[in-house]
Amino acid sequence: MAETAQHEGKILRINNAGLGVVEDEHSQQQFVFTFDKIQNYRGEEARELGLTIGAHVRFTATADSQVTAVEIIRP
Amino acid sequence: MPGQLVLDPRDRTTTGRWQPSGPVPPALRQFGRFPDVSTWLPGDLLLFSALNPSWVSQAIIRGQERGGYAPEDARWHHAAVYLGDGITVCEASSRGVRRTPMYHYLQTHLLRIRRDESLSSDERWLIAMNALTRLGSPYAFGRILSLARQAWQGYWQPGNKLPLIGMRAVICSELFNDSYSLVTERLLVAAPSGTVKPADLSLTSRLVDVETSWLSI
Repeated sequence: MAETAQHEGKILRINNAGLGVVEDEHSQQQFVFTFDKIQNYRGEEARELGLTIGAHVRFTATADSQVTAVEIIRP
Repeated sequence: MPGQLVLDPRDRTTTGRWQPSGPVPPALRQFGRFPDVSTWLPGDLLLFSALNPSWVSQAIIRGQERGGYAPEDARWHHAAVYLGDGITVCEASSRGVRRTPMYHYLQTHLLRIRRDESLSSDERWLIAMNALTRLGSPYAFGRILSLARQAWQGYWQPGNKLPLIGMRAVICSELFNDSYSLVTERLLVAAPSGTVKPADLSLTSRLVDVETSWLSI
């Protein structure tokens, strides 16, 4: 299993196709994720999840920048 | 970095013949050339640069230059996704996301084809399909205005982020970028401004240019 690291950051962009871009608050590195990486995701739309531009999230990513899980901390 | 591979409508060299399988615009027959799409794959990125840009295209080019891109990247003002049938692209234009033949670009635009060579055939088709799922989405005019404002400050400025409004609306370069990321779960471009522009797609080293020649009609 690939090693992962924990990050926190802000949502930079989302679209209704189920894609989000998050920026790590420390490194300013950008990561992309699909909504199915959000904990307990069941096909909801972004606004139903409280996923908005600027929302604060915690996420894990592999060394090659693949996001494996996203948790919304503050919408 | 190798130079850009560009198909230029002013180049009259042809490497074979193209037989249309159906009706084509008379102007295209008069032009007499069609790209050799045998080297293209579904999900390829097409970049366009008008020989005589409209005021809108000029504004995008100037905005990208002012924002910090080199002229050879800033000149690409439009992007589309090739759908794999030899003729059709999916693009976000002022009329929204639509599926359209590429005929009307061929005589008037420089054309550049780019792709991620590491993708599988299935992934390429999925990029094309993901673009098609956005058919009918409106064009993000608001984002273009925000990009223009940002260009004055410089796209390189940290914290120069866009207030992004409307998740459904889309601009041409995002259509390819988002379709790519949905399939690969990889970031294609880390645009400092938050929005991927045609110049970003020109610049990224994740994509390589595909050599294309003209066929005579």
